Amino acid sequence: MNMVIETHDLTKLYGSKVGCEKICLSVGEGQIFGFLGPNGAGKSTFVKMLIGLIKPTSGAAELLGISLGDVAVRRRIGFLPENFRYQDWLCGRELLGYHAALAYVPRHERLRRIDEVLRMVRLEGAADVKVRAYSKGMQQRIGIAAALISDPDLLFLDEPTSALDPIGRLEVREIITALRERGKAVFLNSHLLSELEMICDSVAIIKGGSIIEQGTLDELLRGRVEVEVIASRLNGSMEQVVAGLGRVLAGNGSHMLVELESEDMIPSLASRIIENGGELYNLSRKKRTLEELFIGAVRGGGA
Amino acid sequence: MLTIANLTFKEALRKKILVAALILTVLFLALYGVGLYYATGSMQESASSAQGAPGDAFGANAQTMVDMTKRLLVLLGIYFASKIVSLLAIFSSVGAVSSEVENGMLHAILAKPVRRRDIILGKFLGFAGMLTVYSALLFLIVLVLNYYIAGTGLSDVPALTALFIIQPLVFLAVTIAGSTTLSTLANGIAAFTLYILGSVGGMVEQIGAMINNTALVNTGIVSSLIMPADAIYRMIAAILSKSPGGAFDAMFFGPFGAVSAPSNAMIVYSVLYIFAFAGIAVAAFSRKDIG
Repeated sequence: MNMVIETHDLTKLYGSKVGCEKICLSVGEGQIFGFLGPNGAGKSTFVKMLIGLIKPTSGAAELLGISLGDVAVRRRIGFLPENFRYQDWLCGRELLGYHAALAYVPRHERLRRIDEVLRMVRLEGAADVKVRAYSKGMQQRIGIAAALISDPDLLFLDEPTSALDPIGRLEVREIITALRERGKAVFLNSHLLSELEMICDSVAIIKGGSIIEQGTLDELLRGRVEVEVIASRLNGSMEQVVAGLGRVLAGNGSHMLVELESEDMIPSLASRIIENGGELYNLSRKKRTLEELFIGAVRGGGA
Repeated sequence: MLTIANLTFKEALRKKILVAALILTVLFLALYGVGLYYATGSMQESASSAQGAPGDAFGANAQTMVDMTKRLLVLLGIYFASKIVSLLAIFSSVGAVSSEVENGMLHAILAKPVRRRDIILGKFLGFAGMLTVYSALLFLIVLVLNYYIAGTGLSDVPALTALFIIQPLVFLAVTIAGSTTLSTLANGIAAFTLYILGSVGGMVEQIGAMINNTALVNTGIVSSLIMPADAIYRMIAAILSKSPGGAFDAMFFGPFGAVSAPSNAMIVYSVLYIFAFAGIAVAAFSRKDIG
């Protein structure tokens, strides 16, 4: 897989204060990459270094195979800032025309492309309305449209759904997944973990300026094997039943949460319960959520 | 760069400061026109009665005095017009970069394939375009008022207009450079302080020349080097006071004239000054971290 983002020990120091420290990341083409971290962890600093707003103190990075700092690469990237603010005295169509001109979209393609992105973000009906009359959600949509205007191969979205209602969020998720289907890569900065979990292929968690967790979502969420058990009439305690397979994490009589050493032990657990006279009503693997992974990593300093 | 210049020009035309400047300009021109009308009437009356008394020293020079007073009225108009366009230059561009960094508007622009140099130069050109049009129109209206009300005709109008336009451009260059490094408020204070320094320095230099005080003249020269806009006004004043000529003329115009007239090198210095501050703005913005 070709890498669209590769960073090597990318560091930003503000005097003695660490913005980001030795960040090594790789994002492949056609991937949706989630970048998570608590407030002040260095997420925005990292994105701003990649976009060219902030100069790194040390380290190196390549976007789409081109070294950081080369203006030419920006023809192929799009960016929605977290604190989006646009020339609100322009109408949506004029604003996109301005961004299209800045992105060197060929003049003869601009009108078609502007209509295309307006359709994508569902703002066709407000194209000729001044941006100042837009709701916050509409302003976020026009920001996404401005980021998409050059049909970028790599899109950076910083909190792209923060001002959107549930339908708007769904639509943005659909835009992002449609971009992935076209082989585009999307780098997502967001606090909305449930949304990231729905669409991300890989994630990284940053804390105190350093990456503390990184990998594909499947790898990271696989982690421990937790099984939710509802069983009654057991001969003996659940601790005795699971001895050698794992341990009981929580339980109140018939409803228990059991951690097993591996996935292979799930059938053995079912057999043990039956062998011990239990009546098994439910045995389901409890999937770890991104939120649990995030909180565990951030609070514990690791996964 | 031209895309940014074009948008900046359009944005500059929409700024409230331009509306405020337009209202003040109209008020100024109305007052100035009325003043000019009555002053011209009084002068003609005085000149007629003075000419009727042969042997009177004033009577002998009556027409000269009228001509010089008319020139003084032109200079007064140009002096206050200079102040208007200088303040317009400062307050229209005071947040050109800083406010857009502060409110995040520049973030999406900087992610586009645009060099930071082009953003600064585009903004400079956009504001310069607005200021050039505004300054040229204001300057010409002042001259037209003088021509139609007082009958004062001037030569060298294109050169005088070009000199007049340099003044706001000097302030624009300084203010945009400040805007890349200072907050909007701090930049406004710094630019306005420079404006005061230039104005007071120019006055001090003229008063020094009138009373032959070298220290005051040198103080004025130093202030002109720090902020050359006033020296450009003095060049305009020097050109306007050439006829009827003589040291007495320059003294007659007082602090609004050019008893101590800058050399032509000041034009070169002012143009270099504009380029230097534009360069400083480009260099400072190119190095700046946009947080």
